[in-house]
Amino acid sequence: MFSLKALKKNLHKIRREMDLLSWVQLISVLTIFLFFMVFPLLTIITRAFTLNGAPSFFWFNLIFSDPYYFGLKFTGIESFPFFSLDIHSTGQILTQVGKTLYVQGIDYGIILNSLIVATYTTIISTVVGTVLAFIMARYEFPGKNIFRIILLVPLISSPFVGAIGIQRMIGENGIINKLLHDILHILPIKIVLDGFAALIFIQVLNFYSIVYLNAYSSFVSIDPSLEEQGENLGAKGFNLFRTITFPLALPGVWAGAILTFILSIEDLGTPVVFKASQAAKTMTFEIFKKIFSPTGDIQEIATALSVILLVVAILGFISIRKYVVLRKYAIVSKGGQRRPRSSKATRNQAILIYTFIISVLSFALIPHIGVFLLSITEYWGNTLLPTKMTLNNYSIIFTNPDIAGSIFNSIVYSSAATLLIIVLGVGAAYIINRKRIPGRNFLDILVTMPVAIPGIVLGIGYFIMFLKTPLSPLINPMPLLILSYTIRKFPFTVRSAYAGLQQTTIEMEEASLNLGASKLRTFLRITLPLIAISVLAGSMLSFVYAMSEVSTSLIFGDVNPTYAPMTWMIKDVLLQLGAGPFFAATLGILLMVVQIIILFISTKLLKQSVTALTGL
Amino acid sequence: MVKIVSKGITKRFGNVVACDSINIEVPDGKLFTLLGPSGCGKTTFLRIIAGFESPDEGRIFFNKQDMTELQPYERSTGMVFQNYALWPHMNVFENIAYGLKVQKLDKKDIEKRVNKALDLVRLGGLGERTPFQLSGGQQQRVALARALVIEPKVLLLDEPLSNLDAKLRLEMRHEIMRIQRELRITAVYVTHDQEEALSISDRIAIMKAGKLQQIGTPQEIYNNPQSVFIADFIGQSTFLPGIIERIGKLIQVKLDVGAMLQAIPGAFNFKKRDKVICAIRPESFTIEKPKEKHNALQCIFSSIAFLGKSNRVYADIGDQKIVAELDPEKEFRIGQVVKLYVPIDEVEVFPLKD
Repeated sequence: MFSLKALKKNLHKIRREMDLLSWVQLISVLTIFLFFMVFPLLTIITRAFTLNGAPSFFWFNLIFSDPYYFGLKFTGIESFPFFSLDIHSTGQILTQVGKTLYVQGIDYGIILNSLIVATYTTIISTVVGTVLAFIMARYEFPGKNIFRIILLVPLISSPFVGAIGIQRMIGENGIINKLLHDILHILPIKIVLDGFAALIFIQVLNFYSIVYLNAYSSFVSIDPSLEEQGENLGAKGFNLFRTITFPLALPGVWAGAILTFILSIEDLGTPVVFKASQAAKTMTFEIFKKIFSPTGDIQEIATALSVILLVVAILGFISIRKYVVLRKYAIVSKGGQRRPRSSKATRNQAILIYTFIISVLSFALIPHIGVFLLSITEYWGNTLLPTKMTLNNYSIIFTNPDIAGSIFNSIVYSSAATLLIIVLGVGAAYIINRKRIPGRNFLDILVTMPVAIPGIVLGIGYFIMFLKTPLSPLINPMPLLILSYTIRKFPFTVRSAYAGLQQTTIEMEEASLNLGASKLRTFLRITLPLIAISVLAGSMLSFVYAMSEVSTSLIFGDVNPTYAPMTWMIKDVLLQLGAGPFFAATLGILLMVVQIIILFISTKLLKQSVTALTGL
Repeated sequence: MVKIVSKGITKRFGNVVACDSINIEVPDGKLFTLLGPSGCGKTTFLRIIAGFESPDEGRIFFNKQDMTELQPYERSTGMVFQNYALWPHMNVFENIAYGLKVQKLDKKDIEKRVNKALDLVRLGGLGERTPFQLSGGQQQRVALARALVIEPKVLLLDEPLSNLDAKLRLEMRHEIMRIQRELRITAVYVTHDQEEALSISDRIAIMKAGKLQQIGTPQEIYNNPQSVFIADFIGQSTFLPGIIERIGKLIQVKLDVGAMLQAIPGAFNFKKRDKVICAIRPESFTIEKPKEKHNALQCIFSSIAFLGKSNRVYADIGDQKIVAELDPEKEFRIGQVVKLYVPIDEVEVFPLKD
């Protein structure tokens, strides 16, 4: 197949398609991604398979023979009847101490812990998200528009910030137990979610919205005539849903589910907040513990753990792509012209719908209520609401120079990263969408892959690769932080720019070339203005998600607090005794406000394509 | 003063051959139409002239100059796109002025030429509108003005009327003819509408599945189609299969339905016993015996439609159908057995394998 003639033809094709502008775009994107994604990952992989300079499986052997990392064993606690039926996949334990029911997980070693947590999070998020999506896509009921907005609330706040609020809400003396047990006597005993149970709970509250968004856009984009045809042939109700609707929406649900799995397994923020408990026994936190940022020392075993984490995430990514490439692109091109099917809910349906949505929402808002209450707390004793409230916490934003500095750092880093993302992302999207060159599919994979790459892994890679270079984080972590944000939040803008290009017919550009304008002029005067809104919306997403980035921020923030970003500062003040959590919550609220504003604007700009919010 | 010459242009998309060794000469100042069903490669060929596609083989010349390797922006062609491709972020004036700004003309010149172009397409005074505020026909005129204002060497039109309604289409057809003749610009016009092609063109090239079928004036194409495909594609025809009985000064064909037909030999070298198809235009049939030498076919009317200027009559001859346009003044009945006459020089004979 690979003949000289084919090669020559390809070369000719490349020469014709690519002009100076495209070359600059292509080479700069490739350079950045090679040096700040591919090579760092390869460095980790090499290190993981090396012992004293020679190739070796030593670290993997060590991991899989140590029950601390990989503990596939019966611990005896599973005598609890329900869970003993399926010990390996459930891993929940229930112990009752006094009048409190403690719910936490079983420790199967950190690798299985992470996988089990991610599996649970994914299953629950998928069920909740899909049901919500179906309701919102197919039923009309009073108040729907308000619910539509509130359901997106979890996108505001990272699990990291949410965890701070939840900690206070679900503790033994938290608001929920106080309210439902002490005051209203609805619960016969107190319930405390701890360890993995808490981790799963927090992650579900954040990630169901990702499944929801993807499933929603799938349901909405189903051609109504397909379902009508099904009805026409006699399928009704659940039968229609099972045989037509759900299979058609499945790619969207599936993509959302896998993305949830990846986000769950790479979540570092929640284990950091719950570091004192079992919840810290996960892969991400274990890797995090093995990095000593101030000197750049990394325990070798962390590289092997990183490889395992990376493999799981990449496998997920590959299976997402299979679906998303087909689905997302097709949806965008349709432009959402047709009116999707929806019917007015009957009285009984409405009651069911309200019950479901309101109970989901009352859980979903727990983190936000918690963070807000903490942010106005001066002292919180054994009372339902904060014992003594204050607004003074908010003044530290301005008075404490370290905190103000970290906010400033975050804005600077995120802005710089966003600028880089715009310049490179538009170029990448342009080449992927418009240039018929061999290998552009590879470029597409390269620039969307960061969705799947755990931040902590990228951080370790940077540390190892750049420690002895002028880019060393020990000198100044700023360049690497900006670059890590650039890589990690790249997909949001590329996706968006790609969608913009897809909605702009190529004739718009050809008309310009035809009138004698060069390719550069055409790009600047025609292409860019036409996709500007999409790019803007996408870059705003990149910006907010860069502001709330946790993994690399924590690693590089530890090097030198002067250069640390806001998320690192939140972690830092959280761990201080006394008012620490209150200040952390205040910063969390601040972050949320920024996110709300920007997400609101960008969803307005993006209109139909809400899935862009998830970066798929 | 530009003559377009294509020599052996071939373009493949994967396994599909969009253009198969196309040789065409577009005479200077003429309106040349590429006509064919959708997917026949006509648009691809136009895009090769414009430089948006690069041919796998063959060369394109404007006069003596080889254009094949030039970029679109180096060719000075003015193209009107099927969807107009007006830029929504610019108003009408800016859309038209774009090509002149690229040439770095001074502001006064640009203004003068844009206004002249607007007048040419009869849109004077609408320069401040945005494309969205214009009707389909007006957008079409803007697209035309934008292509013409740069005074291109050739004008390329890709199904320019396909997005307009029937009445507007007729009007714009005449506008395009008027402007093209006024400017005497060499124009290549792509369409799948045979009526449009016949009425607008100086010359027509018919394409099918990437291959050139016939080139000629509208009259030549209509009156002397060189294949069953063209006879079918251009206008309407009755097709009657048969076998050659005798070849001499006239060809005699024994039709499968039994009757005999005489015709004048055309470009094909037939032998006796060759299987052929005879094509006859609806208006070639008459109910009255013509003066010239003719054939007669006995048939039965199966359906009659009054069209105003004529009666369209469908008639059965054996298991075949005849379509004829007959005198509107006459009254016909379904089931009526009649003789229809066809002058022998209006029967076209084609080999069966086409």
